Amino acid sequence: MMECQQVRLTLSAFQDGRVLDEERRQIREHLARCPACAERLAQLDMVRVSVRSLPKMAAPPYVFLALRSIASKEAARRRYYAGLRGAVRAAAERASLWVNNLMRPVALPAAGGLASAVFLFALVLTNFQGIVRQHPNDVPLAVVTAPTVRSVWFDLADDSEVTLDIFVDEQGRVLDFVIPEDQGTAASHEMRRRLASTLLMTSFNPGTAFGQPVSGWVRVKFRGRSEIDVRG
Amino acid sequence: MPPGVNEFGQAEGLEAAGWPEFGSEERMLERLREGDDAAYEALLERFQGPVYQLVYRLVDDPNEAGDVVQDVFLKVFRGVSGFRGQSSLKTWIYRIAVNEAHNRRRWFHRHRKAEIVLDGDSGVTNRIELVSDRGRTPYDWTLNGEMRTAIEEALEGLNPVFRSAVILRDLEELSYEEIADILDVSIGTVKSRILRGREALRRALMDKLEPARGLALSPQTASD
Repeated sequence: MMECQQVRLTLSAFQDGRVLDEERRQIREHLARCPACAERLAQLDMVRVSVRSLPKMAAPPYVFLALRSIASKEAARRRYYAGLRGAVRAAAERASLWVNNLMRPVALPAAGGLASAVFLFALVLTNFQGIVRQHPNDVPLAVVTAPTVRSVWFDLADDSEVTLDIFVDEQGRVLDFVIPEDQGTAASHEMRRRLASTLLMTSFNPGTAFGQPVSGWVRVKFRGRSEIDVRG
Repeated sequence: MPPGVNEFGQAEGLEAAGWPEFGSEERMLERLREGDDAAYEALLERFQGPVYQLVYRLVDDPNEAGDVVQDVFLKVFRGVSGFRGQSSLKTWIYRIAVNEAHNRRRWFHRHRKAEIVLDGDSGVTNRIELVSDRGRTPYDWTLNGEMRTAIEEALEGLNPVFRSAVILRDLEELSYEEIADILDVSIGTVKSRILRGREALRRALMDKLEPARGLALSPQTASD
């Protein structure tokens, strides 16, 4: 059962028919037995009728004239811009048609030429692989690389063969060398002196680890006057 | 439930939105965008009266209503190219009118309230004076001048938020859905605003009319 407070909160919606059927039935039941709420509804009805009965105010004539003037100006402005947009659109279409007509005759030859060029380049590209060589000063990109010979002045004065293990520092300088035992060559004192002086004149590219120069051992085999074989 | 009918069996926003001379509202809008004079004229014919009526009741100074209506239609004409039909043309125009009226009222309170009218014979200056001498309508034959004045004053003294809702509902006879669309609030808020607006009007009218109340109100139930 609905209370007065609850009913009064719904009277406005009740007036406008914005309550559900069940709610409407309960409100009617309440109004039938509650004179205070019934009078409240009567007052609200009077308010609604009063507001609805207010005279319809007609706009002064100057407002009508002003509105027509505004409408006329706005319509003219729109027609102008619509015409401008139409002219721009027509010009764009004409330009597009002209470009299309110009390019259409050469479209097939151009596409064929491009495809042929790509095909031929792909064929020739395979023959270019050996041309690209590493520059001596390039920084090696491998994780670890061995030292390499940069320059050498070497003369064993005969065709003998010498194998050395050389310690190269980060600047590529020779710090030490030994003759490996497994090579079995017992070098003479004179030979060792010549090797030492020769290695003083030899420079190396240092070995690298992760792109940074590091010191390390390298095995070098000298043969005769000019042959050299380096193995890291 | 059939389309266009709400849970209460009422038609939803199917006002006379048709434009028979243009075929449809979309076509009408298209003609407006093209700058068709006939479309502009049709729009004014349809909405200039209701918009003036609405603005007249929402602004504090009725003399401002004409200027506000011009601003409203200027915005409508300028904004019609950006109107994408998210709401009906009617609610869109009413929304602009309500916003313009609120803006003008705020401006009025900031700037004009302190002004002193030196010309005492400048003619019509307020709403009461404007409506009190325009008798000869059925309204005038059923309510006396005191009652009408009381209603005008009560409406004028109403909180603008509630006034908008009450006027849109009772004077413009819009549906709750349309009012919610115009005021950009929920249906529940519309209900609440109408309820509080009517209650405030009821209290104001009872206070004014009670001392010399000649109108006998007889309790009446909806079933009668």
